[in-house]
Amino acid sequence: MSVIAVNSPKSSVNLRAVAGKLLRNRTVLFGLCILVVLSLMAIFASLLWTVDPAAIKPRLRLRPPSAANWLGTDNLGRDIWSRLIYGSQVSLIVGAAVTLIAVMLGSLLGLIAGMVRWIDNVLMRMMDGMMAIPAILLAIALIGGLGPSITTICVAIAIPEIPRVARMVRSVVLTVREEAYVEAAVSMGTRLPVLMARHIVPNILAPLIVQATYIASSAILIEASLSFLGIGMPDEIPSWGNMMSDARLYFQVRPGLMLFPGICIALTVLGINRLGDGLRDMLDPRLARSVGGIK
Amino acid sequence: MAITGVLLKRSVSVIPVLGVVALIAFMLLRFASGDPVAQLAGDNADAAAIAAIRARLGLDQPLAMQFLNWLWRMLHGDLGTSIVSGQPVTALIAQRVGPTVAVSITTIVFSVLVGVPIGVLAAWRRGGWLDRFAMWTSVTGFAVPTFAIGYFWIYLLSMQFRLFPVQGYVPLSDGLGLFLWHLTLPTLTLSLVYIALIARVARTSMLEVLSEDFVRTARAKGLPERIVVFKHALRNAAVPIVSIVGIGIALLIGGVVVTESVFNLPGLGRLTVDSVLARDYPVIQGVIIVFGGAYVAINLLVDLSYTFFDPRISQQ
Repeated sequence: MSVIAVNSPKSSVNLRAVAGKLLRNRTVLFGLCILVVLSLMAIFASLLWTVDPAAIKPRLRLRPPSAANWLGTDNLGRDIWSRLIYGSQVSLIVGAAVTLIAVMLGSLLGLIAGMVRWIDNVLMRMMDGMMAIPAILLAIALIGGLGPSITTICVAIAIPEIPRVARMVRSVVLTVREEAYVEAAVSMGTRLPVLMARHIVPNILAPLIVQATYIASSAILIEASLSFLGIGMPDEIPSWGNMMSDARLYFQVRPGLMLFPGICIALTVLGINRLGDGLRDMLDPRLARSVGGIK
Repeated sequence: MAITGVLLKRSVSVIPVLGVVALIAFMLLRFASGDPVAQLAGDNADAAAIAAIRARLGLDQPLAMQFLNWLWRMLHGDLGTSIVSGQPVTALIAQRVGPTVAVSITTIVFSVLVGVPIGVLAAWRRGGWLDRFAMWTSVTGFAVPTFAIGYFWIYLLSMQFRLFPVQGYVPLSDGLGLFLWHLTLPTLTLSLVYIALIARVARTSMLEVLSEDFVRTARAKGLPERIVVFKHALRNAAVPIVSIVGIGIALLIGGVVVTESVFNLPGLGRLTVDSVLARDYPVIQGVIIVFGGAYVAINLLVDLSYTFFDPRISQQ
């Protein structure tokens, strides 16, 4: 209900009420804190790193933590701390880009499917087929076709998420369509764009925000897995997944090589997931957790 | 009568889904950057040789015809030939399917055996220590990448305690003990997320059932709590649990691809990654068809099993 209130004329008052409610919820607060820290890390990355994250110093390889290299160095003598900071940018960009692509295209398809009956049938069969291919496998195959770069990786991770968004949006549209107030609006001659903006979209917003958080966290996990498999981010980009991939031969000597990026990934995903869980419980306790969002 | 009707209807309904899976696999080749035919012909081929290969593969025909031809051959068990090794894709897949199926089955069995009791007991003592422990384990389990869990087990159980082999696969024909010994760490790795998923759904489903009248009646007539929870309640909570086991297969397949790389298992996941790195499109297509088909088939079986757990469904 609260999100519908946000879109009502008195939104400035209610927005503050919603914000207050959000900040009093411990789960949401926990998630927000992690996201804020991560964003600050990414935004001020160039101030935070102590050494050029790409600088290779073979004589300083696999060093333990020291004053110069706060978390030690990797197998090529690169500074772990600086690379972790840089990696936060990669993860944040991937999470945001994938979510944006999947939510926009998915909502569009879902709205169309919910409004036009014959397109609905065709579209939903397509979506069923896409969902039969596990997300990470489809992403791998797409990268195989598109070739690896930041853009293609984001697209490849986003495409398998589109059907999940489309399905959810469609189901909300189908329910809302039957509501008396929508019927009333239609009979008064409200045109479709206005109908969409005033009655359909506000109902979609709450579940969409929740689903967006799960997409973002799953995107970060999939990117890490792809980089780990060697078909993700190009080697020269210090993403957390690449760091862990580089560490596989050396983690027995320096467990930190694997541990630090692993903790960064886990905390980030945990934070975003908790934010989603908290929002879900606040906005709609009945909303089931999307299974596809979990990786 | 009713059950065969349901069976028939559900079976027919998966055909369009499989068709779309095939279409997606087919279209992948069209999206491919660079010309696979030029790659197939090699660096020294001239334009005429490339055109000849194109004609031989039927790539000079209209797209729709190509798709139908490809589909027709696929229905006859021909998934094409690997660009890299020259072997039929079906043969490559047959060689690699063993480890993948093995680790999937051990994971499903282990996850159900662990996940369902955790979920049931967490619901039975809602808010108790097991409930909170299970909640936090699942929240963490969803946040840690699969390969990191794999390396955690390798570090702890292989390197520190030397209990299990670090990597490798031994086929079942070399003895059950050795086979399971090599599969233990991959199974533990893959299971965490799956257990979390099953436990979570089992808990929710049980919570709903435990508050129903028939449970109160069963307790009131003095049945032992064990019977009430595990027989009366669990059976009625079974449908969502079985359904999540089926849906979770997608998660499992995704995890298998990563886990096989961590533990160096020569399965379909390794095959997928290797063929993407080598741009071996026919193999990628074949693997997608196989995984997509397996997912659809398993979920069809899951759907049909509902009638066993809840006879009302077959009468609808």
